Amino acid sequence: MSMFWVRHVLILELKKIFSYRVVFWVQFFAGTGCELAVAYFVWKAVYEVTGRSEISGFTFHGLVLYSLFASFSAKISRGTDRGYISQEIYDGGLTRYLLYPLPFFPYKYVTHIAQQIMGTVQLLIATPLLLYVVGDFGGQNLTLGSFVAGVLTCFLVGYLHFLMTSALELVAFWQDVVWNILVMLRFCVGLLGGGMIPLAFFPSWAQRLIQFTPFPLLVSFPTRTFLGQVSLQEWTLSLGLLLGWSMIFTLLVNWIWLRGVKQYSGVGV
Amino acid sequence: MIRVENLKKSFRVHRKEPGFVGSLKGLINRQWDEKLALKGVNLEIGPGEIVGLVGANGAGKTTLVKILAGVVHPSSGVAKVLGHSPWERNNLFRRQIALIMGQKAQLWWDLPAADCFLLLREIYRLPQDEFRASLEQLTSTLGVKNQMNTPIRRLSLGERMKMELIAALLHRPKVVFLDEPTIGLDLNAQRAMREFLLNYRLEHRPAMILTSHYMEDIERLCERIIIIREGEFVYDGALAKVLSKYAGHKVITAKLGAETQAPNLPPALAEVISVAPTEAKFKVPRLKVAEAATAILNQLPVIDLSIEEEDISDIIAKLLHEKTI
Repeated sequence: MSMFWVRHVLILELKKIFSYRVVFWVQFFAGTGCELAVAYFVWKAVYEVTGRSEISGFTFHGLVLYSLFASFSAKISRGTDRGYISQEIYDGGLTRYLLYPLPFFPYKYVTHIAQQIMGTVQLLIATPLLLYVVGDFGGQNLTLGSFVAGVLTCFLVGYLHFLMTSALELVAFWQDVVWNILVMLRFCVGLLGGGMIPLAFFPSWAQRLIQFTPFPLLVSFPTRTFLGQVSLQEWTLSLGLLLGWSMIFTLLVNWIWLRGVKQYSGVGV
Repeated sequence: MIRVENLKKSFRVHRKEPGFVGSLKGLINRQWDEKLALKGVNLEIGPGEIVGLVGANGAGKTTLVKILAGVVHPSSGVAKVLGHSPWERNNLFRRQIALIMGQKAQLWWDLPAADCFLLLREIYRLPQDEFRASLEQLTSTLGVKNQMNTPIRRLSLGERMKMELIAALLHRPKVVFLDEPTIGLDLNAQRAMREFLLNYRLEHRPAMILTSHYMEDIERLCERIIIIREGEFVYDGALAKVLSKYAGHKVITAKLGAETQAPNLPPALAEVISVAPTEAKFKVPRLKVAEAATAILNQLPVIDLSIEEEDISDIIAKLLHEKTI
């Protein structure tokens, strides 16, 4: 299959993303900025009330740093989970991908990567800002190497996130409204993936259970990689798990697509 | 180029009862209706043919076009376009067809047309020289060179449709499906589209299927029409034959040299359509045209006389509602 179009689509998507300057900065300040501000003040209060200097291995500054990287890991890995696929099924926009000699999922994955690049650019702006505000690494092993490894991990887990979202979005072939399912997925990724609080804060039985799901791979794994908490052995093992889950979801997405596209009527506004 | 045998398509539609109670019932016990959009149609179209698909709303025109373009799966039957089953969406097949829908934008809404075309060049893997030549020819013929850098969403409907047409024809498809391509366009834009399509046909000899509610599109572009009613073809043949076979009358228009009263003609010979001070129009049975013309000439101060076919849209509208043809 020819992939000549990949570079072109990626450039076009990036042009589109960076030409919407307002959206870019609103996402940056209103999204990440608010999230971080809430995390900062909540954890500050928790540490002050409990009088503890460390909770489950995290100092206050370490936890703030965790919140930053968890927020960006989630953002980078989820790329375009904004219901674009389900919307196109609903409004008939899918028709163009059926007409053009263009593979639908690779095309969508390229647009997903473009969003991941935008998230990375925002991370590059936010990290020095936060480090300046916090003043230290809060006992975390954050290095240039771990940072690069973290970004790479985000891009790799982004594929699994893309597949999981796509599988749910394809429900739009049978169901008009799927945004509620997508919200549920985002909530699960936030809670069970370690986006809201580190998984180390969960009771040990819950941590063991969660390991059987793909969620920790989506946020906790890249976040801990950023913070230098993942050994090479654990990183390789997690990558193996990621590959396994990705294969399962690739098959699932393909299975749903083949059935769903037969239902498609191409109607819409 | 296109062969269809006993093609059927049914849709399952959720029956929604009106009101809040109806919605609640739907939560527990959902009712479905089976809608037969195509009831076993047969068709064959060769290169260079433009076939007009005519029918009322919901007759199955767009469904047939979407099946042949590979967008919709049929329920049963055979359809081969350039030797391919369209719904398998083989890339070789997709490189040789185009679908233009007047009511649905195919181009990327946020991108300028120039970017869309460049992307299509990559998608269709068009050689640079061929792409440039094609684009130059299409944009200058349709007069949209100055709008190339405007995002699609900011273009007027006419400009957008022209861009859609360019996008669809850049790769010089061998089969073109046109689903109401002139809908909503002003008269000049409609004429430009028609002329453009006729030239394209002369140059490349593609097979084309055109659906349109504008009879002028059908009249100007198609020599063959298919009339579809409730998922069935009720007529497939030459447009001229529809006129000769189903137009029982002709229209005689007489330009008058002086104001006069309506002539006293027997109703079986001519029916007066309108009388103005300097013009009178009559509806005359085809077999009595000569007789009626002589009577009109004898009774009125005629300075010019024309004999025309009945308006095609009237004939088709009649056919669409008749039980049998």
